[in-house]
Order: sequence, then structure tokens, then C-alpha cells
Amino acid sequence: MAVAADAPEQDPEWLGALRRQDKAAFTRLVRTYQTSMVSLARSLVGRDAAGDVVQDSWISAYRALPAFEGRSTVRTWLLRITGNRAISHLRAGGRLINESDLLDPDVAARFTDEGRWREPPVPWTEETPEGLLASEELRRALEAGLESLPPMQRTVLRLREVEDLSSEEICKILEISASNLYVLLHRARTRLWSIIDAYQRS
Amino acid sequence: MLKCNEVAQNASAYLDGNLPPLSRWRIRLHLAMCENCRRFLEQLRLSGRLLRQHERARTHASDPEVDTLVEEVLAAPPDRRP
Repeated sequence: MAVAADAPEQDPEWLGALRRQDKAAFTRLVRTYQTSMVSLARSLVGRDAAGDVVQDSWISAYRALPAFEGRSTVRTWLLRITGNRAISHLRAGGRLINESDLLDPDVAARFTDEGRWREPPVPWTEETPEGLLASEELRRALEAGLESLPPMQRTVLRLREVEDLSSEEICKILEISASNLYVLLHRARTRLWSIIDAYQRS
Repeated sequence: MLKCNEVAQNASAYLDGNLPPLSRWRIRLHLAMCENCRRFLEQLRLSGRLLRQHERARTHASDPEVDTLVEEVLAAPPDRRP
């Protein structure tokens, strides 16, 4: 993963000030990573609980700053704190779901028992993200589809496709195994495909 | 010869370059002969790009929001279980 242009790793003075818990340096840190942390927390625990999860994460992070060793990037470190906190919240609510099948059920149903396509994919009217996203209706279907995903699936999908994190980083942040990650990610991706495909076929 | 549903099950690993050479080769061979699976993989890749584009268009945290949060974090009592 490429380090973002404005990352403490690139700026030893900023990193030093952070370890001293300097207020301006910390404010800059919050400004830089707040959006990613809120997205991660929302994706796992939903909009209502995300605010508390993120605030608690910042408190933990602020207190741990003097001991930050730089063994991962600051972003991964912060997302890991947020991930831990959000997952504790999910566990407390009993909402952590185990996944076993590799394909989204709607996608699995597109194959015959012999493993051939029963309903093959149709060509899409647009072949670029911009073209597809021009449709308000598809954007709404996409939002609803993401909402309907189990939290862990939605989260690995976001961390991979939007935050562009490596598998190794995602496993660290969510404390899951590589094989677990694959199942979650692939289920989520095939679900996403199925949402767009259903829209294209309608 | 791999079946279509086996290709579909391994599609993410293939797209991410996480398959061992032999499995990769078997998928390539299947794709060379199966238009449906070729289309599925292309659309799966496009779905990911679409999500990225969609989510990145969202807005960033505003300055007042950041400042309030910083004040709250710094004022958090030491006994607060973070």
C-alpha cells in the first residue's frame, strides 16, 4: 500500500510532536484520519454507534501515542484500534456472523448442479464506473445493497476497494485469518456484482 | 477442466493475483474458452472500481467537527475506559 501524501511517516517532526501528545499535531492527525475511522466504524457498527466508537478510539490512540513504535503505518495502527473497538461492540451485541459459502446466495443460484452457468451474466450497458454511476437509481440500489451486507463483509469490501489496504493489513485490523478474509471479501464482491447485475437486467 | 462455478469461487483470488501458478493457469485456460466467465470476471473487477468511485466522492470531516472532537478527547477523564 502506498503511504498517503500527508502521513506522519513522511514527516519526522510531526511524528515527534505526536509522541509528545502535542495538541496541534494531534488535531492534524484527527483531520487526516477521521474520515477513514468513521467509515470503518460505521461499516461495522452502523451510524448510531459509530460516533462513540470513534471517540473512544481517539482517546485510546491519544494515550498510546508516546508508546507508538512505528511497526505499522499510523493509519493501520489507528484503524486497528478502531476495528478492535467496533468488533468488541459487535460481539457484545452478538452480531458477529460466521460465513461459510464462498458465493453470495443469489450468485450461487445462477449455476446448475453441474457447475455451469444457468443464467449467464448479461453485458452491461455501461463499461466504466462513471457511466454506471450516472444512474441515480443504481446509486440508490448500491447504497441499499451495502446496507444489507453483514457488517464484516461490508467492512472488508470497503477496506480493500476504497481504503486500498493489503490483505495483511486488513487481517491485522479486523483480527481475522487470511482464509476468513477471502470468504468475506469474495462473498461481498459477488453480492456487489449481483446488485449491479440485477439493476442491469431490470 | 475447471467448472464455471469453480472459476466464480476463485475469481477474487485470481483478480488479486493471490493464486498459485497452476490454479492461475487453469483459470486462464477456462477463460480462453468461456465467454460467460470472462464477462463475469470483467464485471466483478468493474464492480470494485465502481464502489471505489462512489465512496470516494463522499465528503471529509469539517474543521469544527475535528476541533470539537479534539477538545473532547483531551478532556476525557483518565478513568474513562477507552
